[in-house]
Amino acid sequence: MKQSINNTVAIKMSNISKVFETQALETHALTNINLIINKGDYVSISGPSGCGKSTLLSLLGLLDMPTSGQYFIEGEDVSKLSLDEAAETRNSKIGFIFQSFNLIDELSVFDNVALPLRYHRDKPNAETIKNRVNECLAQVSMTHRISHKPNQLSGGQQQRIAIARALVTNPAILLVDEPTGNLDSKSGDQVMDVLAKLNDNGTTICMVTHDPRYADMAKIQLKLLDGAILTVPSLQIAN
Amino acid sequence: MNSFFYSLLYSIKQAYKSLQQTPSFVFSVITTMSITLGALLCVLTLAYVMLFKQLPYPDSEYLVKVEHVMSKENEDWSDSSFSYPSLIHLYKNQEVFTDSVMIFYGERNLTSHQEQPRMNTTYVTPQWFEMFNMPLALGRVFTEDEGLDSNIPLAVLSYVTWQEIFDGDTSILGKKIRFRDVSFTVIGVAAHHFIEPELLDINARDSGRKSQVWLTWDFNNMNERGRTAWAGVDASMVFVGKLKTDITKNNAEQLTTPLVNEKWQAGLADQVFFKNWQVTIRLKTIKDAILSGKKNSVLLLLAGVLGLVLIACSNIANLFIARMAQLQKSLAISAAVGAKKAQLFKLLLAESSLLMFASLMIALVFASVGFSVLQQNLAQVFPRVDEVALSTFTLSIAIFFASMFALFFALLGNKMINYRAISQHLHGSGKGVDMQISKKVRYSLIVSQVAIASVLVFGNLSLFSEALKVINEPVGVNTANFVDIDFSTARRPTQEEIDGPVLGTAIKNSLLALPQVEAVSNSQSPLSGFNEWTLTNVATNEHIIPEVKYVDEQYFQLIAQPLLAGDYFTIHDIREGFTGPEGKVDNMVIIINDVLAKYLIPEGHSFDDALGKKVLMGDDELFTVIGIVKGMKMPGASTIPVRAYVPSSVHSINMTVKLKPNQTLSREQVITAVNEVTSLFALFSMKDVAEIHQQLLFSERATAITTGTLALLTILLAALGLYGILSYSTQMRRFEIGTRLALGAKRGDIIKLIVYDNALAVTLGMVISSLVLLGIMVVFNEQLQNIINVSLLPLFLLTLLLISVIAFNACYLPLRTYINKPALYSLRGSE
Ligand SMILES: Nc1ncnc2c1ncn2[C@@H]1O[C@H](COP(=O)(O)OP(=O)(O)O)[C@@H](O)[C@H]1O
Ligand SMILES: [Mg+2]
Repeated sequence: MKQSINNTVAIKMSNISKVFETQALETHALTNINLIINKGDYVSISGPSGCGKSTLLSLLGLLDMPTSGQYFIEGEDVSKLSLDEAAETRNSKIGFIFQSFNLIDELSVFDNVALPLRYHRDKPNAETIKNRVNECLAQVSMTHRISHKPNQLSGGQQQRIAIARALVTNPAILLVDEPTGNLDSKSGDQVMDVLAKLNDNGTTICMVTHDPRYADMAKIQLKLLDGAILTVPSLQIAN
Repeated sequence: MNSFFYSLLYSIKQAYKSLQQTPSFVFSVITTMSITLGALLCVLTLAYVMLFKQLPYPDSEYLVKVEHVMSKENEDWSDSSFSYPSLIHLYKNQEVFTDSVMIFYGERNLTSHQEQPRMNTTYVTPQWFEMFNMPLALGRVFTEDEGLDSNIPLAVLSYVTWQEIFDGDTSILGKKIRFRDVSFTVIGVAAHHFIEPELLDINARDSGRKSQVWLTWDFNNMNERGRTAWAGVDASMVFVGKLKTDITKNNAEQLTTPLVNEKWQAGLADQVFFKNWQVTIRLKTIKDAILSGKKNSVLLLLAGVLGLVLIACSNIANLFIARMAQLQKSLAISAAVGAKKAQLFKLLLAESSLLMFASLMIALVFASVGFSVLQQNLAQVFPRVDEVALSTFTLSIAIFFASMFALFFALLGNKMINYRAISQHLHGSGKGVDMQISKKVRYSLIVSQVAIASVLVFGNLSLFSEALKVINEPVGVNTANFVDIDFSTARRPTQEEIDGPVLGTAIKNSLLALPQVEAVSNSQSPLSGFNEWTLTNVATNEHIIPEVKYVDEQYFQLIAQPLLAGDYFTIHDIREGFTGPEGKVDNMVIIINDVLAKYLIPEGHSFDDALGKKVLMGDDELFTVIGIVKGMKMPGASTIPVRAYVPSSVHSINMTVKLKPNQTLSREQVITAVNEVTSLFALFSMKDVAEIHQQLLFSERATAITTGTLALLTILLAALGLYGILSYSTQMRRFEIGTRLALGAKRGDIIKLIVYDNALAVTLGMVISSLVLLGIMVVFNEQLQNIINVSLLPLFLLTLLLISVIAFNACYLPLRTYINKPALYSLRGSE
C-alpha cells in the first residue's frame, strides 16, 4: 500500500465503510468514505438526520471500529487497534466535544478538565496538570469557576469547560458533535466564537452540525447524504 | 363497592401486563422470595409447634414429669432419674395426682418372629393410654386390673409395627407374640396418627425413639436386683402425673419429697456412701420435659432464617428500586395523562402483591418439602417434628408475611418515584433530569447488604466449623473394622446349662472361628456407653461417680488405648462368676483413666503413685488400681469424664469383634455360628462401631447440615443482592463510563474506578458487621463461651475475603458489557 507521509496531514480515511447488523436488517451507515483533514483545517459535516454524521464522527474518534477501510491519524495506522490501544490514542490524539457536554457531575471543573491527563500515558505530575488545566481554562475564559461543580454552571459555560477538557492533552484534532444543540443562541454563538478563535491559533477541528449558519463558519464544508460524502468543495480528496 | 372491585381488577391486570415485560425481574424476585418464605414458614412452624402449640393430650397443662434428684448436702447430682423402688413407692402412695403412670423404655428381641428383630418395648401402667389419648386402629388398651402386680402379659402394637412386622394382619388380636421367654397376647393396635410423647431424657442415641410395642408394666427390663436397689437409678424409667387442679407444682413437690425421701433414706441406711444424701422430688411440665435442652437449637435456626429474610428483603428492595428508576419514564407519561399518586401506588401494590403471592404458592411447596426433610432427618434434634405440618398457623403467617412484604415493597417503590423529576421531565427541561436513585441510598444499600451478609455468613460458618471440628475429632482409640455384637438370653437356662461349660467363652470361640474375624474381645465396644458406679477413695474417703465398663484382657490392646502407667488386665483377672465378685473376692483389680487418676493423687505427682490405690466400688467391693490408661473422648462429647474399667466375666455375652481388612460379617453368619454352640442366646444387637460413631454424632451432623445449608443460602442471596445493587449502580453510571472511555480511560482504569468507588461502602459494611459481632460476643458471652475462641479469627477473615471476592465480582461482571465493546456502546443514547 502506497502511503505518503505528509506531516501536514492530521487525518486520512480511505474507503471506510460501516455496516450495522441488527437481526434481519443490515444498515449501511457509511459507504466508501475517503477523507483527508490537514493540520489547521476547520471542517464541518452536515446533512439530514440519519445520513451518518454521528457514525462518521465516532469512527474518526475511535469510539467505534469501521467495518472496512483504512484510517490514519498523523500517519499512524489506527484501523485495527485493540480497545486499550484505541483508548490511548483517543487520549493523546483526539479531543471530544459532545452535544450534551458529558461533564461528570461529581467532579469539580478543575477535575473534569484534568481528567484526560489522569489517563495519560506520561502520568504527568500534579504541578504539570495544574498548569496545563489553567492554561486551557484560560483559552475558554473560564479560570474563575475552577472549583465549581458542573451543575452550578450554565449550559454555555459547561460547553466551554468541555472544550477546555478536549484541549488539555494537545490533541491532533478536536471532534465536535452538534456543540450548540443544547444551547440557546447567545451561548451557542459564544461557543462558536471560542472554536473559531482556537482554529485561528492552529487547532484542527472537525464539527458535525445541521445549523447552516454554523456550518458556514468552517473553512471546509462537507455534505453527507445516505452515508456518502456529497460535495467536497475546495477539499483535496485522498488518492 | 363494585367500582372499587373493578379498579382493583384493572390494577391487577395492568400489573400483570407490566410484569410480563420484565421476566428477569419477576424471576429474581420470585426465586429469592419463595426460597426465603419457604425456609421461614418451615422454621416458624417448627418453632411454633415446639414452643407454643398445645400438646395433643387432654389437660396437658396439668401433666408433669416427676424427677428424682439425689443430692448430698445440697450438691445436686445432675442425674434426675428414679430408682425402681422409689418409683413404685411414689406410684402406690402419692396423693397429689388424679392420674399417674409409670413408663419403662426398654429393648427386647421379638423371639417369636423368624428374624428376631430388636424392638423398642415400652412398659406402661394402664392409665398411660388415657393420659396420652391414644386412638386405636384395632382392639382395646390395658384396663385398670391389668396394672402393677397383675402379671398379665399383654401387648398393644404401634401402627408401624403392625404394618411392617405383622403385615397389617387383621386377625392379629388374640395372637401371642414372644419377647425373650414371655408370651404376650396382642389386644390392640394404635392408630396411625397417634403422636407419642418423647419423655425419655436427652441422649443422642435415644432421642427421637419411637415405641414399637407397649407391654404391661410388670414385664419391664429391670432385673430382680434392680427392683430393690434404692441407689440404682436408671433413666429408662419415667413417672408422669396429672396434677389435681387444686394443687400447685410447688405444693406437689413439697408433699411428695418427704414421702419418697424418708423411704429412700431408710432403704439406704446401711450404706456408708449415702450417709448425708437425700432425695428431692422435682416436677417439670411435660412440655418443658419434651423440649428439654432443645429450645436453643430452634431459636438458633430461627435467627439464621430471620437473617436470610433480611438479606432477601434487601435484595428485593434493590430490585424494586432499580425497577422504579427504569419505570420513571412511563410513570411520567401516566402522570401526564392524569394518573394520581394514589393510582400509581395502587399499581405498585398490585404488582408487588402479585409477585408475593406467586412466591407464596411456591414457598408453601418448599415448606412442605422442608417438613418432610425435618421429619425424616432431624427427629433426633427437634422434638414433636411429627406434629409439624401445613396448618392454619402456617397459612396465616404465610399470608401475613406475604402481605407485609407486598405492602413494604410497594411503599418502598412509591417512595422511590421521584415526583419532582417526573414533573421536570414533563416540563421538558431536558437538562439533568437524572433518573437515578441518590448515591446515598445506593451506598447505604451496599453497606447494609455487606454488613448483614458478613454477620450471617460468619455466624453460620462458625457453627458449621464447630460442628465439623467435633465430627472430625479423633476418639483416641482405634475403632476401624470393629463390630459390636451383643447377645441376650432367649429363655431361662436349664440347670444343665448352668452347670455345664462356660457359654460366653464358647460364643467367643465360635465367633473367632469365622474366617472374617481377626480378634474378639469379651467386652462392649469402646463407643457403646458406660455404667455409672459410686467409687470411694479408701485413703481419703472421698466419693466420685465414674463411668464404668467391663472389659476383658485384650480390650485395650485391641483398640490401642495407650497405657500411661502400670499394666493391662491379664487372663487371670477375668472373673469366673455370673455377677459381682464371685470367684475373685480377694484380688479384684481395676484400671482407671488419667482423669480419674488425677483425683486419687496429689497434684503434680506421677501417675505411678496412683497404682496400688484401693477404691470401694458399688456395693462396697474393694478394688486395687493396677493401670492408668489415657482417657478417650466419646464422639460428640466435649470433655473426658472420670472412667474406670473392671475385668469382665467369662459369662459375659457382649462381644467386640475386629474384622480382617475389607471383610464383612452378616447377622445370619453370626446367628448360625452361635446356634452351633447353644440355643440359649439370641442375637440382641449387631452394629458396626463406625455406625455407632455416626449415631453419636447425629446432632453435630444435623447442625453441620443446617448451618452449612444456611451459610450457602446466605452466600447465594448475598451474592445475588450485591450483584443486583452494584450492576444497577454501574448501569446508572453508563454514560459517565462512556465519557471516561472517550477521554482515554483504559479498561483497567474503569475497573479501578468502580472498585475503589464501592470499596468504601463494602469496607464500611464490614466494619459494621465486626462491631455487631463484637457486640453479640460481649452480650452473649456466657452462652457463646465454648464457641468463641481464637480459631474464629481466621474464619472471620475468610468470611470477609469471601464477601470481598463476591463484591469484586459484583463490580466487575456488570462492567464487562461496557468495557469489552467499543466505547460508543456506552455513550449511545446519551445525546
Ligand atoms: N448501533 C446501530 N445499530 C444499527 N443502526 C445504526 C446504529 N447506529 C446508527 N445506525 C443507523 O445508521 C444510520 C446513520 O446514523 P447516524 O450516524 O446516527 O446519523 P446522523 O447522526 O446523521 O443522524 C441511521 O440509519 C441509523 O439508524
Ligand atoms: Mg447524530
